[in-house]
Amino acid sequence: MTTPPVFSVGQYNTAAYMNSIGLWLVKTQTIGTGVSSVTITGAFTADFDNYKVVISGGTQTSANTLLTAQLRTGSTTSTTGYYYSFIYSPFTGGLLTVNGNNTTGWGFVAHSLGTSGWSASIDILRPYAAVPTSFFGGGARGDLAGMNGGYHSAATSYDQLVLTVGSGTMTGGTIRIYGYRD
Amino acid sequence: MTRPLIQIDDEVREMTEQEYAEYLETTANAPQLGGDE
Repeated sequence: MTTPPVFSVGQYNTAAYMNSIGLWLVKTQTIGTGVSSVTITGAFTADFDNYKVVISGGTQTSANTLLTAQLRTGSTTSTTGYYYSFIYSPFTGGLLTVNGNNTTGWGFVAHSLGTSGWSASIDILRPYAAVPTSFFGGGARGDLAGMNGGYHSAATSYDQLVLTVGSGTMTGGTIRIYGYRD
Repeated sequence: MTRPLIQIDDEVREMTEQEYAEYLETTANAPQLGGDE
């Protein structure tokens, strides 16, 4: 289907239309009160190869803090084999980078706007397949914006996502995980 | 000693010793930018 149809009220959708829906909401997780880490189980399944994760809202006790992401399966969080490059520019100008080379997690997957909410939209590719997982994304905080990407080197299937605050704690906000239709 | 809170899906509780050790390792390696608190 190359031309998207125009739907009308009360119209029945065919299987072809429904099967062309690009993003499917897999899971919504509200962040609790005063937590330092959130684990989302059932984030990744065999239903989708690739995912979009959007993180927004909430408050943070530390201004302009970040979230680090890790992959988890069963009761084991992977704490090695993460590689990433974060390229960012302060709103006052300049271009800088921060890199993680075989480290404990993907840094900068989300940023807080001061203490007033998360900002992140990242794609995670093939986390459930027993192959290396890659990610790409971007976000902004009160004084800069940037993009990052990287991968996790283990050829392991993961079904959970772990998000840890770099400093302080977080309250509220929403993590939404969408599957890209194969 | 009161450990930080961890959330797994909708359950919020205090970290176990192992979870706290992993949390310390993760935050120790968390990158910082200029102006970070």
